[in-house]
Amino acid sequence: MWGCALHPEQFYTLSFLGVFVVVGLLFALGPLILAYMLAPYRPGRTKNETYECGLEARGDSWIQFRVQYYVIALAFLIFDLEAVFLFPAAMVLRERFVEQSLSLGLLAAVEIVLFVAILAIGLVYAWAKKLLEWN
Amino acid sequence: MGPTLDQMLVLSAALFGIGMIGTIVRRSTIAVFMSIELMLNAANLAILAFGRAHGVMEGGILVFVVMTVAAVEVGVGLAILVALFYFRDSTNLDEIDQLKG
Amino acid sequence: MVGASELWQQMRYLMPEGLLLCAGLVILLFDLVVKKGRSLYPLAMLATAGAAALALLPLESSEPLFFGMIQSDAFARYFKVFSALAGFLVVLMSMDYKPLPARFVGEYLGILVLALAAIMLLAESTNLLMIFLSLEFLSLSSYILVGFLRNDKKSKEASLKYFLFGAMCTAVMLYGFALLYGASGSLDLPAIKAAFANRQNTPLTCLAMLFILAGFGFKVAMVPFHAWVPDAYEGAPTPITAFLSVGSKAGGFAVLLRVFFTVFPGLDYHPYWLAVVGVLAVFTMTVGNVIACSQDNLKRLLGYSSIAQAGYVLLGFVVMDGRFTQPAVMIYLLAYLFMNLGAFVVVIVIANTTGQEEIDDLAGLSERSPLLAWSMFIFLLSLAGVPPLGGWIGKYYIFATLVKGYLEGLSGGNLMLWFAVALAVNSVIAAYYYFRIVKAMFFEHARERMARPVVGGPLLTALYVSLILTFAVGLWPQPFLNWVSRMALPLL
Repeated sequence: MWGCALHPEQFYTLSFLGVFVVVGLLFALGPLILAYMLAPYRPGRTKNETYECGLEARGDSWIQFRVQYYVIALAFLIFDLEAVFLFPAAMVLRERFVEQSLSLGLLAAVEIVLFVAILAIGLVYAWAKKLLEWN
Repeated sequence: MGPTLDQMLVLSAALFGIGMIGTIVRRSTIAVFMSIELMLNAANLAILAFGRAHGVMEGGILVFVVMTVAAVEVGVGLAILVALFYFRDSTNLDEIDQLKG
Repeated sequence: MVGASELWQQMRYLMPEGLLLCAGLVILLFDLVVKKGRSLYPLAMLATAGAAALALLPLESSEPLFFGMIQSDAFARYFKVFSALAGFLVVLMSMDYKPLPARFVGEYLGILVLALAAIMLLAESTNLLMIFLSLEFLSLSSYILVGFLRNDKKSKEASLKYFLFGAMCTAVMLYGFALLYGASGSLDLPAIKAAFANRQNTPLTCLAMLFILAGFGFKVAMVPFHAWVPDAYEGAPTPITAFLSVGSKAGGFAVLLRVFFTVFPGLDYHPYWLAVVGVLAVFTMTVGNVIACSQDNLKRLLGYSSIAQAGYVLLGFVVMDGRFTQPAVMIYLLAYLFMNLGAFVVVIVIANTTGQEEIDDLAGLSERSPLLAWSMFIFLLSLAGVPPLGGWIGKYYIFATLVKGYLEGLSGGNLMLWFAVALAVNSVIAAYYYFRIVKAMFFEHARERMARPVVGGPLLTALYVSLILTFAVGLWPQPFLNWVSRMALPLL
């Protein structure tokens, strides 16, 4: 099952993956290696900062986020995933209108609108309850 | 060509097992959430593998639904955790001991 | 291909849950506009009463609806009536429940009404996808409702524990669905049955069955999956505890009946089934009853008692014969609905008076409020299965089912006799802790400064309805039995 020899055709298919890995590695590591070989090495206080220009970084990055951040993240997460349903729905909608009757197509359209409307009620609710405000 | 049904089921069972052990052993609530996600995704993988073996598409729709429900579940779970967090600054399950069980 | 007008026609079978879904959303929206949350109670009562009335209309169809997703048959209609009725009583109970924060009443009622619709959908789903979706709908609403007491840490904690346990059981159940799908190649219950029609039982289907039992067992509080019950029951707002013990339990039993009657009769699984479910049922009632004996908190005690009651009902499943099992389970659930909700009404009144729910708070209740004491006495007798009351009819039918299974020589008949003995022994254990409550009410004296409990209109209504129907099911069981056997699933 696992250790079987590769069929030539399979090998051909997999060879693309190999080329991709090699090229990807070269692309990522190449500049780093080149920079290591070519760049002059002159350390200094300003040189050692994380960003050479811009604001100076202060404190640790392991800080506690505001709890409110999670509320907004959760609202986003849910709406983000509901979008998954819109793609198959769009496919069905075209099929219905083109290949089947107008009434079935309209029914499907109404269903999608209802679906989004119920979601919108959720958003309106969160908005009205002032959960989306950052203060 | 691609992985066989056996291979996919072995992977799915392994993921399910890891998730199951994780939910029982891990003490951090967030880690338990992640283990539960792992179990759900193991089931998703099994559904897709079986669907391909049978040549039916039905399972794919179930997978869509499961993904969404899993997200909603995490939404509710984290919301409860945030609410509990107002009372206590820890997400460690050992410290959640107000009730006897 | 199903036409648009046909689909529109099919919508009329969904009127009760449609009404509840719309009402749930409307309540949530009104909550944003209305300043006083209490004014939403009449709306919720109207919605649940309307849904009960619509569910009582003889609108049934044995045809699969909506591309085989649901089947709105008599069996589903029974659970629709059940859910709407339970919902109505729970809304009544919530009206005078003091700890409920007034600011969030709209949210509370909205989610409660949606949860009732979820039970209805659960009872009529005939597709694994739809079952998963409605089960999660019910679970997620329940998690939120359990954690509803904003300033109560116990409530939040109960909610988190319920959630973690529930999410795990759901994941296991989903894996069971995946295995069932793999074994049969379909998500549709009738199609799965057809695929299994002439096949031997395989390890795959056994495993699938066990995994699925985990998800449903969680909903009905079956023993290895009961760990959430005491904590969730204690931490939740008391009306929600009542809802969990009756509503979501009935939903779990409905889907259990439908899945195991639709899918598995074709399989040669009977010996396994008998052993697994029978032993689990005996464990369920024994664990529930034994631990209940040492409880001092009323809600925890009723929680363990509800685990035990689930065990009794599960025994009905041991005899997988449609003539016996379904009416027995359904009549038990009906009796349980009234007696258990009634007991929780008394708990709410006590909690409103003393601020806690310990058995000691019942001390001398017969002096302070004879009505409450005697009602509680009746409900406890019924829960214990004493003859002229509703609980007795339920228990009698489960018992009779087992004995009939034995007499008719079904396979594993001897085991059934043992299960019947276990049922009898457990009833005696249960009588002990129910008597502890009775003793506190009638033979102990009230502590100093214990106020007389005041029962408001809504709670009084809920109390009388529960009381009358507990008596009615026990004294005139025939109409209920006729109704229940007419509503049973058609045997395939």
